[in-house]
Amino acid sequence: MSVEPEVPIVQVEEVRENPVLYKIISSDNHVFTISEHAVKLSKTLWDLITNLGLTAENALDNPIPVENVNGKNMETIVQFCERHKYDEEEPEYTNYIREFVLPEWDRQLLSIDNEELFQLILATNYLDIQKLMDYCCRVIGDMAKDKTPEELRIIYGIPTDAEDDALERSASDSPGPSG
Amino acid sequence: MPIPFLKFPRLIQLEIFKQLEFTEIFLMSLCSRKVKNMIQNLNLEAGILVYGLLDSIVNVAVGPHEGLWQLQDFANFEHFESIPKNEMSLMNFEDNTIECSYKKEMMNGKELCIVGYHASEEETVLKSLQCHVSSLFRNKPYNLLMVASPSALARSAAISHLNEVRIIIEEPQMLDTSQLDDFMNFHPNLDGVQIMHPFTLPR
Repeated sequence: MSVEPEVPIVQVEEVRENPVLYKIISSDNHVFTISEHAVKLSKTLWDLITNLGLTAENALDNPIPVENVNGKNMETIVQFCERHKYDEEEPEYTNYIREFVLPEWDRQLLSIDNEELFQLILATNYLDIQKLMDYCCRVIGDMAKDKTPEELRIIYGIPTDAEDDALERSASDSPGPSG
Repeated sequence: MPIPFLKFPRLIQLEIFKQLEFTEIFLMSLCSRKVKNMIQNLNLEAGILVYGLLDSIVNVAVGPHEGLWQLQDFANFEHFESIPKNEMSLMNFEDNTIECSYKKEMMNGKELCIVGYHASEEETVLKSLQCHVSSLFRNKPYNLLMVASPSALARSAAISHLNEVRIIIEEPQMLDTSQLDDFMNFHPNLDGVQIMHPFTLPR
């Protein structure tokens, strides 16, 4: 069964050098095309494609529904994957702290408000795209630069110990579901 | 709107911590017990912890055991006779509530957050600082103390479980053997002591 999209297909980037394209449908029924090299950056999508047995011949007739990711996030993700599809494989990180420079193009792509960034990270986690996860986490980590603990609490929405204790007390005081 | 850090799944929180520098991880650990516990779950390891004492300043740096040149800043504290009311905050620090201030200063081209505290709480703060820092690492790093003034030498009694001490006091006639005796009584189990000081013979 093929799904007829009601919204226009978003052509993020024309891929001339690789004719194999896949269709992805977001939770709000936006349809995206993505090249094979790009889709491989998402472990979840590539596993799905492999398990469904999609090939160059039948890929476009079998759109892949991704119910956990909306069109806005999917557009960002497809842009990111197309941009980085030919990147060299990342070296294994040996140190605890991951050292890399966040490219300006990606910093621009991820210059979105905190609510959108939060949702994008959840989508990235679901689709298992390590490089985008690293980049998103770098953007969030950069928010901690030159900040005091008080400022960090505000930026990251971290309650104080006293607030945590008060929350716990009120949770234990409130009657449970059985009344 | 803040980014709701605590609402991320645990694995994402760990990924975010991986993007932070050591000074940022330390300052995050001061935010709340909950965040400190998360950091403890990162299983951080360090070869060496270097406590640097100079007059009113305490610096903690972390690095691999063999490479002091690879040290990275971890924590910066400074004591003051008093803290202005409008700058004062309360910090829960290892079961002690401490009045403190946060000051930003440029050092080596980087802006650092320095935690200020009352000089009268010196002993409590130093003990809490060492306890807090040690608790953030999974392993037991080698503890090196570097002392750069006679007053810092006296203050160093609050820092315990040291492996090695380096006393670097360049001004002549600032250090006498009785101070060193006291110091060695406080730290009887050191693996090594290095003293760099222009001693003079008694006349």
